[in-house]
Amino acid sequence: MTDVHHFAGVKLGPGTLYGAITRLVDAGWMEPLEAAGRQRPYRITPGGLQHLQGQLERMRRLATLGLRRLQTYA
Amino acid sequence: MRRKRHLIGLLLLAYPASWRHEYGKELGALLLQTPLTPTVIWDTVLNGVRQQFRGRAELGMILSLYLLTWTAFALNWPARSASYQVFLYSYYAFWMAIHVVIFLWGTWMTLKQGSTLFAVLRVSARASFAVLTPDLLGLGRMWVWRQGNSSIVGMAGGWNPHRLDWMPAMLFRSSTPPSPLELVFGGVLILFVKSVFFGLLGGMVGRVGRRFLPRQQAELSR
Repeated sequence: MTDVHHFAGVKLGPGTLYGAITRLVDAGWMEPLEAAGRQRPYRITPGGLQHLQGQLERMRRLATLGLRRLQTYA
Repeated sequence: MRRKRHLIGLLLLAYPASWRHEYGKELGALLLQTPLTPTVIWDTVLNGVRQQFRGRAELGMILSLYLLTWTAFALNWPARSASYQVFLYSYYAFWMAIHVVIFLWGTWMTLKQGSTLFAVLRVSARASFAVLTPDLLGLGRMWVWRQGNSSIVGMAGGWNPHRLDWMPAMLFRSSTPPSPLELVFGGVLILFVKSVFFGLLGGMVGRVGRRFLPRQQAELSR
């Protein structure tokens, strides 16, 4: 939650975080590892990596296009 | 700390049992490290409710479309015509089907699984909330009645005796349509009472049926 707050500037509640974890695990994009105490670490799956890469590429294309169009107004 | 643990236990009750079994401990541990502000409590409860409805989205959508179609037709259908009754019965057929399912569910729980009536009551109460989402459209329909701008406004004004809507009529004995608050409260209450009633009825039938099961089979299904 702290990490998300630092890099995205968004405060994530515990319920929202676990709602997202449930959806990502159900979609097969994340998987739980062996529990360490009461906390359980998760790791991204190969399918999740592929999906994330696709999403980031899309965002980069969108950002590049947006910045280019903004320049015409400057 | 003890009070906080107790509160966290209560917050986790908002989630389905299967979800708690999978993620409950982790979320509990995380909540223990987090200050329980009203925002955190709201976030936790809201997501618990979301988890309750997850996986039922398709069923909810089908039921919503059914009610939406019914509403769209009913708004332009003359209330006095005999064919209007067909729509009314189709709407009530939907609710009757839900109650039959809840009844059979209760019977199955006590007959085959040896569940207690209290367990049946809990399941029936949860079922009433699970079917609440599509019924919000029903409340929307009643709101249109209130506006007095539809062909069925006559029915809403006088609680037409031909209607099977006797329970709301008993609750809101008046010549004017109920207020939105009355509709929400009455709708939720009626749905809850009916679901619990049919669930318990099924549960009691199952308990009676258990006496006729061969003893060995009854022991096995416990």
